[in-house]
Amino acid sequence: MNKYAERIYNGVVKENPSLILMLGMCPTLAVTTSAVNGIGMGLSTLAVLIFSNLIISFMRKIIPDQVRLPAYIVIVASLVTVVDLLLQAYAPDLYAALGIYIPLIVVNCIILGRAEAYANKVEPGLALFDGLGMGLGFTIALTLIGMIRELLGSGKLFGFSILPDSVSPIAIFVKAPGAFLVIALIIAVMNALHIKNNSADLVKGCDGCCNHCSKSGCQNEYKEDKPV
Amino acid sequence: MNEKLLNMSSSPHVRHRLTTGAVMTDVTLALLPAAVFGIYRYGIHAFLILLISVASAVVTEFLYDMAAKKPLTIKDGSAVVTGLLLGLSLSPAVPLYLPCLGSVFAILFVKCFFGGLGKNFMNPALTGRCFLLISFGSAMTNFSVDGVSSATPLAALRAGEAVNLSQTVLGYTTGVIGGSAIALLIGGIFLLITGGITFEIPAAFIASFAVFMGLFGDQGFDPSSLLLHICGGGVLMGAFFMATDPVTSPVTSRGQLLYGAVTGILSGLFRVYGSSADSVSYAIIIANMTVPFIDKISVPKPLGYRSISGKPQFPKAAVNLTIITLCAGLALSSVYLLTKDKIEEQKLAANAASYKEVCPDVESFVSDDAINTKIEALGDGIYDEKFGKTFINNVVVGKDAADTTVGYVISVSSGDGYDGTITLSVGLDTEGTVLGISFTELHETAGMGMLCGEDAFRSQFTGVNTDAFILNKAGGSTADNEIDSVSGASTSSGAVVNAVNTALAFYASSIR
Amino acid sequence: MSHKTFRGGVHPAGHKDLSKNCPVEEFLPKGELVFPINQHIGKPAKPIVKKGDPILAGQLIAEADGFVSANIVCSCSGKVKAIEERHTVNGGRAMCIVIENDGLFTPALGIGIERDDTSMTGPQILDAIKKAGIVGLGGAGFPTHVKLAPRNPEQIDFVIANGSECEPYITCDDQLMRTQSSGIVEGMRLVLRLFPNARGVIAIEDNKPEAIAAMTSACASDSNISVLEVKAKYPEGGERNLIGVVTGRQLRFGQLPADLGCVVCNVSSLNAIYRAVCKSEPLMSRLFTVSGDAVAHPHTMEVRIGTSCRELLEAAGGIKPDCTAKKILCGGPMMGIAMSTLDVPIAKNNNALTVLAEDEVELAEEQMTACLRCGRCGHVCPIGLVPQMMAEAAERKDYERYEKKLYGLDCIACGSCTYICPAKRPLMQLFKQTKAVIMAAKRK
Repeated sequence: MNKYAERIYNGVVKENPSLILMLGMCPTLAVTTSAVNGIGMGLSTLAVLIFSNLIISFMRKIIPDQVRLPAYIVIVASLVTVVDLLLQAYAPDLYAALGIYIPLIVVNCIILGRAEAYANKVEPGLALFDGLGMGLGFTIALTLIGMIRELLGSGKLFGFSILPDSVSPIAIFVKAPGAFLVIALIIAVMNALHIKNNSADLVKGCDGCCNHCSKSGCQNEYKEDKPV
Repeated sequence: MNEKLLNMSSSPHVRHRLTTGAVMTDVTLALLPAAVFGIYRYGIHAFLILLISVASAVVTEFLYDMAAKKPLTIKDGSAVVTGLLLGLSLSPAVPLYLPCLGSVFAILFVKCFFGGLGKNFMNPALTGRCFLLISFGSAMTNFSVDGVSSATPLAALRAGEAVNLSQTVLGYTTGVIGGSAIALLIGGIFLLITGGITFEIPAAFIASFAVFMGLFGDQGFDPSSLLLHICGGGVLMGAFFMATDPVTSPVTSRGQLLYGAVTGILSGLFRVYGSSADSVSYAIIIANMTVPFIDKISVPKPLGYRSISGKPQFPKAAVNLTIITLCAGLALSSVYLLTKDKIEEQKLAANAASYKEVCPDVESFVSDDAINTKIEALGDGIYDEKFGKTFINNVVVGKDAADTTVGYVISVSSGDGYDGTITLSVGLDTEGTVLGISFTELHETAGMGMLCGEDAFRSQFTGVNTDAFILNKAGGSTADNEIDSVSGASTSSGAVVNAVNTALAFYASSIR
Repeated sequence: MSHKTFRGGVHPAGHKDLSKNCPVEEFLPKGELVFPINQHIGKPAKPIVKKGDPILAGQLIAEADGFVSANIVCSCSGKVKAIEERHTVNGGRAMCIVIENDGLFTPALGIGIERDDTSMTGPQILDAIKKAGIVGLGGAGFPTHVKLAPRNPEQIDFVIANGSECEPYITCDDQLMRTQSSGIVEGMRLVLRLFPNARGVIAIEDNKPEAIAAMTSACASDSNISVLEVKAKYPEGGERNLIGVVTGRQLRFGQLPADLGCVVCNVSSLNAIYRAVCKSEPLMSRLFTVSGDAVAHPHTMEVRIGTSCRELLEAAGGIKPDCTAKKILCGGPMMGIAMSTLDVPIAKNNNALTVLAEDEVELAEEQMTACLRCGRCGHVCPIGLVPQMMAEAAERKDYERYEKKLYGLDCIACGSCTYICPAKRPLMQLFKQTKAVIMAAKRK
């Protein structure tokens, strides 16, 4: 497939940021109490991701290497503030629901991770589609988790009551422990179907223990393309 | 004799006849008195709960072993024990899918996913129970038998009512299926005699729990209330059957003593200061997580390394840990006592802000003695059953610059919120028209019940003069006193409407 | 009166009734006698005969090689048939001196002459012991003359005679104490001559009342020797537990009993010392129990060292009719070694042949589950170790933790933990392997 489509496929399936790269766990687990919240968060992140990847890619030759992280953060923070203001103006319910997790998009590992690992190395077209793919993958993952949690935990789907009133929902799923359980189950199913990060077998030395990015934003030498 | 058929293996060549299955069978037998008593007292439904609990556990383990292509382990009897323990810790009034779900969760998530027997790090039965407590809070705390609901002995004790100790010991009071203290004690002693458990954990648990309750509990060292605390609330079942689960408790004697002490202190802490229905369950599973550390620090000194007197050396590390836990308990209670007043102050300040919000053109708020007397006359009880669990907290009178009354602010709480108590201030003018409502305590689900706090919902009350509001779940209200429920949050909305109606009723009866 | 004992231990079924009341018979072998040159701890002995040499009973056929080594004496008369590798009782192969037995058992010159030990000095006594080729007959096989010559003999204050015999089925020490009590006490007196500051304690388990009575009366006249009744428990006869119970002192891995002022000898060894010094009889025979629920006529016999196990089993009547032997052990069921063939010779330190009709290990393998962490293993360990933690470390190959934090090398391989484990984990096997790996690494 052509390289742009490949980026989309990569972001949604092969290197899904939530389920395979395991980036951005905190908003993933906190916000997905319902499918609509999941979609909202996903789309907000998608918007920021597309533009941040695009801008950082355009400016990759201008941003000096020593200050690249502060530069990225300025760019991403500005983008997030824009999204924040737009949500506050035009989607106040979603804004109230997502609450504090919108400003936290700035430090969402996906944004900085993709900027560092990918966008600052490739041309804007590829960076754009990578952002699109990753953002779509994130949105799909969040929606999936949100749907499961909402259905099991409150008996609804997208706000519509599905379960009859006589069956009480399992409330743990709209709380924090339930979030961990759902994502664990999804990843277990994916492992059973062999859709996992195969690059884990190639890397020597790095066991992904660093909390920030597991592999995609790794600063040290244990990258998969550099044999140790 | 054909020497080619001789067996060869490493010494020793004889074995004690005790097997894992036999150990589990002993525990099951020890639980039978409590189970039999529960079935006798609560009838067929309790029997079904136990049956489904055990059957779900065994079937889940069997299916998992088949699916994961592992050797079948159900014949070691540990699934039966988990199912039985879980079933006995449930109220006899729970719907049957609860023990089923709880057992499935306990066996699948807590045991099988971590590697099966011997590899779980938390007690499966208790974790299953906590899963059910969080997921089905109201069903789990509903102890009504044949439609009659009464308080459990511990709840009664907390409310200051008298409790019949002998009834509690025998098991004739409201509680879980396996609640008979005497039956549990018989089972526990049976296990001690047959060597199924050793005395360290139950002794350390009960002793440290009793000491903690004596030091920090409301009733102090009063023997009958201490005994009541021990006989109720899962302490005996926890001490003899749950905390002694060999997989999740330390291996050495001194480790077990320390673990028992930690569990007892945590149980006491949660019972005195916690608000959850269950203290022992959470205490045990949290203590389970300290076990690898306890094991590490409690390796005994073998022969050849002990001090000359022959007795093992004083377990310094273990004692230190106990002291640290005690200090933590003390620190927590002290901080709580210290900050209690300040937190009250903050709440009052928040209240003041909210009063201003609902009663705008007011110069000052004063309290009225006549009204206060009427509030005190209500006592701590609910205002009226038709409004559910609502309470009038406080009323202040709004006065303008000329000291004329311009309105009233009634602070009212409802305990029927989806996720806890909702407290709001209702502002009324001198004619009884609602000027507005404002929330001081609203902890409902984000995106659902929380939307009650939004203007869209609240403004429905403003400017309406009525005796009572009516909740319209479907939406599309026409009359002034009809309130559209927040979509998907009818419980929260209903609680708010009831609270407002309580305020209106109080106004009608006591202020006007 | 509660008898002294140690913490831990197990109580396997004793089965001593099978053989303990059958009179002891002397058994003279008909077939060839085989003498492995490594039947003691230390360097193997050096053969001093060659093929074809005529041999008399009591004649020296291999010499101790080095400080820690022992002589080997032939126990029959005949001719040297060969010096070749043969299978030994523990399944390995070793260089052996094979003697063709002429059935006459003609003693060599000087054998059987009575000697007055009161005129002998300490070194002369030790020399006689060394010449006789005596090693620890309780099973360890440590050269006795080396054990009895520690660096500081004046610091030894206890000489302990080990009459515990805690293993099931075996009754040879019990019966020796009943029939040769004076010989044992004489042997004790000889050893006490070497240690002027020591007193003698004969430790006997309380399930052997006749032996206690016999030994008590035998040493009644000597105020320096006493009998101590100890609680019958496995492994009471373990050196470390015995020292702990008798003296209260604690022995650890790497230490010798002499470091704690103790010398421990089996009662059979003491009897052998008496015969060697006072009767000029080198170590040619010993008491040996053939027992087990599959044996037709289980009893204890006085056997010649080097006899084939097949002959011994036949002497005990062979296998019972309509009974099959599932397992044959050299030694008792707790620490014995499973044998694959009966065509192996008994060595000086072997004391029993146990033939089992049922193999409990077979059943245990079917009943094995994951470790429950029940902690029973830690409660029964006589040394006070925690086998559950040791097994966990060993399976992870964490040898550092095994040795340093869990004191794994102090394990005396008694098998109590494996015996009691309800999950039927193969603990003893794991510990033996782990110890071998750690010791091999240390030697490098």
